[in-house]
Amino acid sequence: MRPLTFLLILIILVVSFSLIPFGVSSYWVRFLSDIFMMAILASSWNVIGGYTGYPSFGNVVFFGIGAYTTGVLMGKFSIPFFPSLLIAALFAVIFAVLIGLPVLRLKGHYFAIATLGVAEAMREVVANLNITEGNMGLTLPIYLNPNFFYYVMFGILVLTLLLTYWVTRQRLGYGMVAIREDEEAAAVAGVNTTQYKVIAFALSGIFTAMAGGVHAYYMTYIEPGPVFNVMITVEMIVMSIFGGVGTLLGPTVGAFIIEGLSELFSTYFLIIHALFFGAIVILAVIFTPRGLLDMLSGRRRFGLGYFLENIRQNRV
Amino acid sequence: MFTLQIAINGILLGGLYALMALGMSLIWGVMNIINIAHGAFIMLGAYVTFFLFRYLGLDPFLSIPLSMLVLFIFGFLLQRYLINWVVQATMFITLLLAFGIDILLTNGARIAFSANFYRVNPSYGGARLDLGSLTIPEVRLAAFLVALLIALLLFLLLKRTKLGRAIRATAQDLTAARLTGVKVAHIYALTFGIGVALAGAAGSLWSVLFGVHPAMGGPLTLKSFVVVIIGGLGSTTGPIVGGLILGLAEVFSSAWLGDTWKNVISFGLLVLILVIRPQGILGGTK
Amino acid sequence: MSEINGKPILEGQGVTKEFGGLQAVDNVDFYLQEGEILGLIGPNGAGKTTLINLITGTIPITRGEISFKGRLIVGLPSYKIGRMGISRTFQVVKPFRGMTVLENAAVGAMFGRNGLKRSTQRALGKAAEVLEFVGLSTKSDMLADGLNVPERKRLELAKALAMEPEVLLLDEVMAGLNPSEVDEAVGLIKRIRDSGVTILVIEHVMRAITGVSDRIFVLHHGQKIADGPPEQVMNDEQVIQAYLGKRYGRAQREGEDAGD
Repeated sequence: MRPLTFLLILIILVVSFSLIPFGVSSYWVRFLSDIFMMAILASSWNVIGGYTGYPSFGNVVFFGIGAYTTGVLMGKFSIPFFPSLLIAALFAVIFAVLIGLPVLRLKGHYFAIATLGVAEAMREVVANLNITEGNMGLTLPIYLNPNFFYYVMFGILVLTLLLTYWVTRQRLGYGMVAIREDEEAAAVAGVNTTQYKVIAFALSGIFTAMAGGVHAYYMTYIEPGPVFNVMITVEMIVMSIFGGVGTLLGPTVGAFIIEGLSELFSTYFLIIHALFFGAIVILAVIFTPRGLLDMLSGRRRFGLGYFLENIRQNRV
Repeated sequence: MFTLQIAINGILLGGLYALMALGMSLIWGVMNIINIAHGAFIMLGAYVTFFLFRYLGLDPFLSIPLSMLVLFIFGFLLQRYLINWVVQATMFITLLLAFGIDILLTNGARIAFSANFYRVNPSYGGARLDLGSLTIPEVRLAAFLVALLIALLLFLLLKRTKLGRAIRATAQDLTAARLTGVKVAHIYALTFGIGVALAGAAGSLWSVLFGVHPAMGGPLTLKSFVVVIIGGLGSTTGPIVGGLILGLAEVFSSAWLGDTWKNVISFGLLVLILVIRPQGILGGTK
Repeated sequence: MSEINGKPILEGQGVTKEFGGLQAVDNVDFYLQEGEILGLIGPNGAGKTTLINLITGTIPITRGEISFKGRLIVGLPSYKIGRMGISRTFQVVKPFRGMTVLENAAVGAMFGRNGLKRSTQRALGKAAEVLEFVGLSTKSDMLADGLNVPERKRLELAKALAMEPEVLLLDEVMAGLNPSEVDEAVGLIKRIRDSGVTILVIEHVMRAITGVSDRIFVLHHGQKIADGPPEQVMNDEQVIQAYLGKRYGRAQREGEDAGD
C-alpha cells in the first residue's frame, strides 16, 4: 500500500472517529471502544500469526499480563495510568522473549498448542499468586469517563496500525514474510529467523498488553478467568481470518464486522450471542478462509463460484 | 503406603484420561485435525448416560455402548457433511472450525439441558474395595478396566481388521491410499465417528465419577491435549502412557502442593514436553 | 592431483555426515579455488546435496572441518554463513510464493552480504538489477506463485545472486530444462563466474557439466572417487563404473586391451 494511501485512510479514520463521541450516546462510545480493543488484538495477532506465519493460540496471555500488571501497579502501588501501561507493555516484551525463545522453535500445530498451554498456565499462575489477589479479583482505582477510554483505545489502535505498516515496509517485514513462506530458504538467504520470530512475537504482545491495561482500568475490577480466556484468542484469530490474514487492515475490518454484529445481537440473548458467534466462526472458516479482503480485492471472481472454489480446494 | 495409595489413584485416573485422549489422538493422527471440540463430545456422552440413567434407570456402565453408538452416528454425519468441507485446509482453519463447533455444542447444551450440575449415582456408587491400608472405590476400578477394554478393542480394530488397515493407510499417505482404492471420504467420516464415540465412552464414565454439566468440556479438551502430546502422536499406546503420566502427575501434585497448583503442573508439563521432546514419549516422526 | 594456486576460497577436510548408521558423506576432502567453476557429480544418493547442506549449515556436521576464506564455518547458523558470502540454490526450488518476484530477490539483497547496510529502497534497486541479469525483469511484479518451471529456476538463482555471494552453490539448476534452455543456463553461469563469483555446480546433465566446469569432483556412496579436469574424470574407470556398473567398466577395459 502506498504511503500516501495509508496516510489518507488513517487521516479519515482519525478525524471521523475523533468526532463521533460528540454526537452519540455513551452506549455507542462504549460499543466502539470494545471494537477498537478487538481490532488492536486482532491486528497484533496478525503480526505473529499472519505476517510471520506462526499461529499463536495463546496471545490472550499478553492481554492478561497487561491487565494484571496495570491492575497491580495502579491498585497496589498507586502508580498512575500511563506509566503503568508502559510498564505493562515492557513486561509483555520480556515475557515474549523469555517464552518465545523455546516455544518459537516449534512449528505449526505444536507451536499453537504450546502457546495455548502457556496462556492457560499463566492464568493458573495469576490465580494463585498473592499479589494479584488470585481468584478473588483485583480492584483498580475508579474512573468513570467513557470518552477517555474511547480515545485511549483508539490511540492505541492507530499506533498498532502505524507500527504494522512501518514494519511491513522495513527489512523486518520482508524477513517475517520470508519466514512464513519458507523458513529454510529465509535462513540461507541470511535472515536470522530466531531473532525475527521473537521480535514479531514481542510486537504482537506490546499493544495487546496495553489494550489489556486499558480494559482493566475501564472495568475497575478484573479476575484471572476472563482476562486469560482462550475465547479471546479465538476471537482475535477469527477476526483476522475473516478480514484477511497477513493484510494490513484485514484484521481491523474483521473486528469491526464481527464484533459489531455480535454486540448488536447480544442485546437479545446472551446465549444466542454465543451461538451466533459459533455459527459465524464456522461460516467464516468454510466460506472465506482467505478472508474478506481477498474476496473483495478483485483478484478472484466474486460470487457463488468463489465460495464453492474454497470448499473444493479444502475438502477431501 | 500413603504414596502407594496416591499412585493407585493416579493410575486409575490415568486410565480414564487415556481413554479420553484416544479419540483425539486417532482423529489427529489420521485426519490431521486437532479436535478442539473434543471435550464437548465427552460432555455429550456424559449427558446420554445421565439421561438414560435418570429416565430409564439404565446402569451407566451398560449405557456405554449406547452412548458410543449415538456419538458415532453424530460424529460420522458431522464430519461427512460439515467438517469435510475444510479438512484439507490449513491447520488453524480446521482448528477454528472445531472451535466453532465447540461453541455451538456447549451453548446448545446449556440451553437444552440447563446449566445444572448432575451426577450419575448408581446404587453401588459408594462401594469400596479394601486391601490392607489401601482403599479403591469400586466405580473407579470399574471405570479403569472399562477404559482399558475399550482401548484394547480399538487396538484390535486398527491392527487386525480390514477397516483398521484402511484407516492406517489413509493416515500414512492420503494419495497412496486413494490410489489403492480406499474411499477416503468414507474413512475420514468413520474415523471421526470412532474418535467421537471414544470420547462419548469417556464421558459416560466421567458422569459417574465426576458428574456432568455443559461447561465440562473445555478443561477436558486441554487435558486430552496434554495426554496426546506427552504420550506422542501416531501410536495407539501413546495416549495410554500419556494418560498415566498425567494422572500420576495430577494426584501427586495435589497431594504435595495442594489443588491450586495442579493445573499449572499439567500445562507446565505440556510446554516442557513440547520444548524438549515434541514428538512425545512414544511419538513417531510427525 | 591438480596444482593449488594460493589458498582455496572454500575448503573442507575430513567432512563426514552420518545419518543413523549410514555415512551420507564419508571423510571427504574438497577445495574450491577462487574464480573457478567446480562441477560436482555422482549417482543419485551419492551425497552431493548433503555436502551442500553441510557447507551452508542447513544440517549439522558429524565430523570434519569446513573453512571459508580461512575461517572455520562449521557450527555457524545458516544465516551467518549466508551473510558471509556463501549462497545456494535448492534442488527443489523454494520461492517465497506469497511475495512478488522482485520482493523475492529483494530478500537476498537485504539479508545477504552487504545487505544489512542497504536501505529497503536500495535493496529493491539491487533486486531489479539481478532480475535484469537473469532475465526476469518482465515478471517483477508477478507473484512468485505464478511462474513456470524455468522461470522459477531463474528466480531461485536471482535470490542467491542478490546476496552478492563470493561462493555460489548451485544444486541441479538445469533439471527439467530443454537443451536450448540448458545452453542458456551454461552461458549464464559463465557470466556469473566472470563477474567474480566462485561456483560449485551439481548437475546430472553431463553435456552441461563438462561444458561449464574447470574441474570436476565425483562423489559415490558419500566418498570422493575422482577430482580433476573434465576429460580426465569422464574417462576415469571408477567414475564410469559408478554410473554404469562394474560390468560396463570391465567391458570398457577389456575393449581397450583388445583394441591395442
